[in-house]
Amino acid sequence: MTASETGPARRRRVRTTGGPLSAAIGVVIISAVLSAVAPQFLSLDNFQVIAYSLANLAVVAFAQMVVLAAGGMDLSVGAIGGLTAVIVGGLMETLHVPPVPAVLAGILLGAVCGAINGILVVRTGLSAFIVTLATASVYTGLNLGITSGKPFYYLPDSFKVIGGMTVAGVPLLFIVMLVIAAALGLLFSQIGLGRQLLAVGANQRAAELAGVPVARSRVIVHGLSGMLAAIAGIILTARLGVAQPTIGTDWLLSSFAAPIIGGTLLSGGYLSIPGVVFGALLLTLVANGLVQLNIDPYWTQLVSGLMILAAGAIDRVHAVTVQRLERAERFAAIPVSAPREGS
Amino acid sequence: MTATPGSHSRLPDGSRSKSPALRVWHAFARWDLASVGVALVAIGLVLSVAVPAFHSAYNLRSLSFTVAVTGVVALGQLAVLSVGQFNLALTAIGAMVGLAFGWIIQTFGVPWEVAVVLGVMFGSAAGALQGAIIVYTGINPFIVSLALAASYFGAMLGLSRGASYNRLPPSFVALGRAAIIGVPLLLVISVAAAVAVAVLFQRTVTGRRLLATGANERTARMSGVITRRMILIAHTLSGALAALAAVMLVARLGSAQPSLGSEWLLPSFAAPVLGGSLLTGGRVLVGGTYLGALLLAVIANGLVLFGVSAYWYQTLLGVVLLVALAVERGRQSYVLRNQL
Repeated sequence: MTASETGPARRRRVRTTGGPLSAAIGVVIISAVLSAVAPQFLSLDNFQVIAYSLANLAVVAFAQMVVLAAGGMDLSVGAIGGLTAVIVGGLMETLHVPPVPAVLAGILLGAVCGAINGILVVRTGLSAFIVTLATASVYTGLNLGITSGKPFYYLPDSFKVIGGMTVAGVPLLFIVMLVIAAALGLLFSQIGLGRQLLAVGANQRAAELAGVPVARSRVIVHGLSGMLAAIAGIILTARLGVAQPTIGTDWLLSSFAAPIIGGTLLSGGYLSIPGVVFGALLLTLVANGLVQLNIDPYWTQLVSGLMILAAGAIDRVHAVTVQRLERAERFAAIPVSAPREGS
Repeated sequence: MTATPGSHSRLPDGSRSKSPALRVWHAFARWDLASVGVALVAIGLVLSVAVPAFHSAYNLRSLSFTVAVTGVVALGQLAVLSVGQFNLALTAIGAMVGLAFGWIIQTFGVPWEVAVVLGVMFGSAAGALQGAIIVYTGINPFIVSLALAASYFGAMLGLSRGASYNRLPPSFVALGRAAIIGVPLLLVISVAAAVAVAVLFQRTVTGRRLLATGANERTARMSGVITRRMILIAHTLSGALAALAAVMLVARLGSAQPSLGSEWLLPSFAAPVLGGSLLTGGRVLVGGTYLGALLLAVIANGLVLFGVSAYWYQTLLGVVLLVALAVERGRQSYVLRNQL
């Protein structure tokens, strides 16, 4: 901390650097432990396994992150991912649509599903929680109704090769995730729209008074979230080589866990893309570590749950620190020599 | 069964020129259960005319079993909604208690009466732990609930390794089919729980304090309510009701499985909200919650009777919930706009 840092800047730094930093520290510690105890951990094969699951998980987390940053939440991320996966699979298998148009149609479908969430939230004035709980049910039902629970197995080879493709040893899907991360970073730091979305999350009323179109921003952010969820669904389909209707059923927890561990505030207004990637990497490493150490994968959920709780606790410590700093500043502002009232 | 402390003022309509028809319409619009009531009557009428099997004793019994369990699950959510919080761990507590219940009976030969008591105590403890973490650490309640949902479920899976327990005493499984003067025992238990919860919220000091905490936590604290204790009580009650629902479901199914309760989350919110309770706290309607649970059960039942694939049930459930919420929202703003 430099001496020139003023009160608000210091408070902001305390509030925002904690999450990404603790996630990164967690990643370093777990990697160190795993490389010491599990000899297979440092193999190239295992790095690829980690890169594949990180590619999917990080995009799922981005989908939740963007809505959290704008002060909402989306419980239908997994449902949109699953619906997109089976629609893309169905287009390719039964209608023989080439992969590129099918994938584009899938991404468009995700954006539409997300925008429907946003429009319902804005137009009915209901909370995003209950709206997306209901639409998650709608999208999952459409998925199961269309497929009757049966996967699309016979995807074209031109699509399936994407899942295994590597560029200089790095999986293509992982590079896709990095490109998305960079694009999101650009959107939220450099582009007016991204700043508007964050402003809505930080203080909706203030954003409105400053001329930000709040309703439109919330629809856009839900549409963006749906688009990212769709991409995550397609990434997983490409990796598995099968469009399974069960894709997305277990995304809810990790979609919240990675952003929260990475320091994205549940109350909105702040996000950290490296933080989310570190959060997702931490979750991936824990799952991978349990496999490496031959521990029952049934325990993964318990560990993830405890990690979310720990992340919540760390965030709480920072919030309390900020409150103390604020209070200290208020007292410092009172002149010491001035006679106190009533004494 | 409205329970609202002081809020929701109903202004006397000063005008004398209203026609009787308009008066009836306005009185109807003011009725909290108007939306769910209309939906229930409409769907019920369609089903009874179109499908004679709807009336059959078998079908009514199966409906009442569904309502009995869903109702108690919804009461579990209602308990925390009263203080303005959510319990996302409801499903995990249900699964955990159900399996623990089956496990102690099958492995240790614990009499089922004792196991029921232990199960409900276990559920209360799981709920109390959640409340305690929320209250004493100040971590965001949503995060705590999400984290504990994963932790409880993970612990259950890790300990049981996905096993299910099928060898339950016949005297216990018989409870799932027992009836008192034609009314299924499970429904009687469910209604008894509902009456107890309604009495708690309407007739006891604790209940009023719970609602006051939900309506405005700061005001409640200023008025001398120990709001931390209220939040703790609400979560404990929620855990106990989730455990009761789990035990009822085990009796009905005749086995304790890890998938127990996996479908509870949406109905647990949908039934109270359809019945006019507020997600933001301070206002719970026990009777409305049961009407909401009945509506959900009738819709599922109708799909089966019409031979629609069960896969579409979730879509319809979501659409019904959205429409009902939008209608209810419209009704409330209509009442406000016209100063009814």
